[in-house]
Amino acid sequence: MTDISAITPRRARIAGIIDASGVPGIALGSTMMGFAVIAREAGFDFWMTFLTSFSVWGMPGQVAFVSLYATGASLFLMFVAVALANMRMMLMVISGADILRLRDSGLPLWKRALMMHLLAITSWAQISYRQNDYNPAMLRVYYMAFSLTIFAFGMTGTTIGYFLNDVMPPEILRLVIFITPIYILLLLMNAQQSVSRLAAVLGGAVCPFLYATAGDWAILLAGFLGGTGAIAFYQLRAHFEDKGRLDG
Amino acid sequence: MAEYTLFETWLTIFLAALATFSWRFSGLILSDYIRPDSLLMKWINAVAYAMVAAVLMRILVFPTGVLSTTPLNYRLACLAIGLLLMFLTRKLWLAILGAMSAFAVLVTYF
Repeated sequence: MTDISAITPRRARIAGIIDASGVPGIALGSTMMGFAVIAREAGFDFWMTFLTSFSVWGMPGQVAFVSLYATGASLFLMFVAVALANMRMMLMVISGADILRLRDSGLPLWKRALMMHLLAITSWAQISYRQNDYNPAMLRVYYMAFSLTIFAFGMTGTTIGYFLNDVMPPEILRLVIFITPIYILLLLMNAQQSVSRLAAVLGGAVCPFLYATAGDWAILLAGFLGGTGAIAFYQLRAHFEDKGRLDG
Repeated sequence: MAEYTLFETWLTIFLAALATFSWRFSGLILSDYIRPDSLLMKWINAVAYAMVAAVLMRILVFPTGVLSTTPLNYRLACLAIGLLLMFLTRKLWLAILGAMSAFAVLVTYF
């Protein structure tokens, strides 16, 4: 175990870039590649596709957006669909800002807002996984290096997906696209706190069953049920352990 | 396919970005008011975990695009292989490698 107070910004930055350049970068790049394929089919030109990835930077919302665009939905419906699909961003940002101790960072609001624009499922899961390896200031350096690297992978993936759609055989493409769900689900199962792992298991397990009746609302519903269930379980357990101690 | 004017298309992209940015920004503002060790913060964190797992399970079980050409059984079996490898070896990279190799073999040869 290395002494975390001895980690320099340079080392945190390099670690962030290296960690992002393996599975996370490939997974995100391939996911964005998949998005670009759908966007092109929906009739987007390259710059529209590129700027959507750049400015939204949230996969489920992007996919909902171009899928509706392809069906000719109203602007209002598209706005609502993206807003609903990316609602989880708010919870992820609250949790991510807390992990990074942004409140105590002294950074101006616009800088913190820019940092949170880069927050994606991948980078959030990564800092959650790494939070005890760095002190808050170095974790922020690590986070920026990691996030900017996967952002670069994501934008490269968007570009490649748009132009190389015809070159890449579907047999390969479907393997590449499978990396993202597998990678993130396994990463969630590596969470340090057992309450987080239980929440992920519960949320992931109920979602497919709810999806049949609730459609995309299933995600919010499963999140609420899984998170609340996990917290309730650990609160109750702590309560009964305390009680047992007092009685015994 | 429906036709939008160029202006409308760019407007929808702007609206999509705005819709996402609003959530991120409200999250950032709210995070200043929630105490880090409070039960509320723990709950938000747990809901975020459950929701992210739900998004990925939705993609895994009900995929769109090319992934939907693969059988559901294979996708779930490979997730199970990944999870099993992770609990046995505690190595994330090995679990991902195992799950991906199994998937490549299954969809290519079976």
